[in-house]
Amino acid sequence: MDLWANILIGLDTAITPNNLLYCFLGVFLGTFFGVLPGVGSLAAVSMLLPITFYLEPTTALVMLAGVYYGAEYGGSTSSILLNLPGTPSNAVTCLDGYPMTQQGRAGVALLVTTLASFFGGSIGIIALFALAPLIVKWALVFGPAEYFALMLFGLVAAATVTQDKPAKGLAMVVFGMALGTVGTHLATGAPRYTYGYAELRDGINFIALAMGLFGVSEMILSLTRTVNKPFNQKVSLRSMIPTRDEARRTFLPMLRGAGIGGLFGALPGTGPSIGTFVGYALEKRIAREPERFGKGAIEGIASPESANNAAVQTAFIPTLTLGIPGSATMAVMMGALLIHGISPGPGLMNSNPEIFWGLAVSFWIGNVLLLALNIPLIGLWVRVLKIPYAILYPAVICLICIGVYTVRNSVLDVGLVMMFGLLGYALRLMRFELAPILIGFILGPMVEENFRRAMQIYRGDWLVIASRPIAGTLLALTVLMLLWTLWSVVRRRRRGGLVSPLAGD
Amino acid sequence: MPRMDKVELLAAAFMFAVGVFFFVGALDYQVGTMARTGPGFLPLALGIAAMILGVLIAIAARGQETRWPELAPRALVAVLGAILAFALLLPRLGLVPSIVITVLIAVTGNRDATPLFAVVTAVLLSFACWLLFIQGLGLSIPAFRNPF
Repeated sequence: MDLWANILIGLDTAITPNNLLYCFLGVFLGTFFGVLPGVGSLAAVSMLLPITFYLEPTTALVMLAGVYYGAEYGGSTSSILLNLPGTPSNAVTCLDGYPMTQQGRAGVALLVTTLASFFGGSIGIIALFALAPLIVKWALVFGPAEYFALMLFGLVAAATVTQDKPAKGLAMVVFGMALGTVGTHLATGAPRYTYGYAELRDGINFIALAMGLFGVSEMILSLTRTVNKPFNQKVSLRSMIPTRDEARRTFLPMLRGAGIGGLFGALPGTGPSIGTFVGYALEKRIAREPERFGKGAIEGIASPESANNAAVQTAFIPTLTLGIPGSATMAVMMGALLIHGISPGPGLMNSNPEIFWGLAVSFWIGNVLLLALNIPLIGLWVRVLKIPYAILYPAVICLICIGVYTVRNSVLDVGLVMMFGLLGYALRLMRFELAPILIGFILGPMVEENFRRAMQIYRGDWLVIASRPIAGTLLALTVLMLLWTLWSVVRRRRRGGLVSPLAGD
Repeated sequence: MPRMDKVELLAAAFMFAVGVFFFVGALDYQVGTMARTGPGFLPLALGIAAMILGVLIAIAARGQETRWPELAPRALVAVLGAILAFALLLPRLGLVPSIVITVLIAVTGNRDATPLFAVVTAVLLSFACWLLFIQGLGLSIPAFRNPF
């Protein structure tokens, strides 16, 4: 397989007028929903999924992928201007982006995040081109034991890497996996936790779960805050030009961010948010004056945004090559693939090269379009932020209801959205993280099936699995990660224990 | 008794209850053996894990106390009620009347909304949904349906 030949196959598919049009539509709508605070890429992709039912599979995916990375570009705009993250993975950008706005440097912040997003996205796409064929070759020697170990590693990483309280992160992964067991057991056909509802035999509808947990609970919280902070600063093209010092301090964080984001994005389960947190923490740790962070340090927005968009692109690697979604939004994308009759996995690249490479090339076209949409047209997105929330949220409720209903024409699913909305709201009040639920829910059934097959092959002997080189290494890393988490919690409690008796009084 | 964080204790109790629910449910399904795991194996394991994590969260709750979070009953009822109304009305009334009622309920979550604002929003959104989903995308949902 030759890289150039692959790019040519991809160009052939991506450059047709129809695909270009839908790529543009995708990134445009994605940016629009991303800019709106409280509507993340997950909700945007889920809401627009029904629109793609009538398109060709490749075109549908090109558009949905555009919505995904478009939303991540747009999400930084409201982080910077309003201190409200447009998508969860833009939350870190608030820390230094909003102080820059308060200092009248909003234009520079917007330019730097757009350039960092483009840079990170491009690195992610290069990684996709370079690594995907290698992983497909590897995947041929992957058996159930390897799949099981890889997914377990991803789940534990998702729950513990950036969590302040790792037990609560793990709890949500377990809860998600438990919700994933509702429905028919794959191997035996036995129904579990269905309580007589025929619709639950197919399992809980993932879109209903995601929209309820994230979309609905976020809306309830947004309604109680006073959302409409006036934003009256003018963002002109001239105000976007950074000083020489700022430009100089942007490049290396951008590069480090892309590396970190690309790595976490490619791991199944960890997704972009974790990359942004780790990228920010790294910049703060290695900075000569860490006290500048939180007060408008340009490194603090360049690195996470670059990490975010690199992760979004590399998240396609495990999804397309192994059939394991890299993040919650990726799981919706995988659902879209399955609806269109394409099963992602090691076979996809050989059986449908035009889909695989066409999609990959369209990512880069989409990123170039986003550069154009976000720099000259920034005034448009600033105006989108002025749409009052009072009109916005009833519209989003309608989109969620119709979107969930059309996935399989079921009003029970709409009822489930309400139930999961209530659950998500309660969990947020109990200060649980919600993203691990979705990851556990998606990976749970795959973990179960691969564990069952591996145990069947090796006659229930753990040691055989642990002695296989790839599976054993991954399992050892998982155990190490758990031990390290436990150790850091104990250490923090010891230190905290010395301070807290005084702090309370 | 040491000071406990009430919110964390509630979180611990929730996780423990989840564990009990899945554990008890799993007892009805076959667990199988390690070499041949049955449908009950994973739910049983997850139920036990959830109970253990509940205990761990409770242990970690010792120490600082935090305030109860503020509840938002008005927003909660408006948003959830709107979605429930859509689920109940769509098969009986069709898309356009369902959206009108859904929006009218949703708008009550906003303290500042006037009746005029509510009606205008409901009419505009139902028209927009009709235009986009039925005319534009041709989804097979009836716009109006006779409930009788």
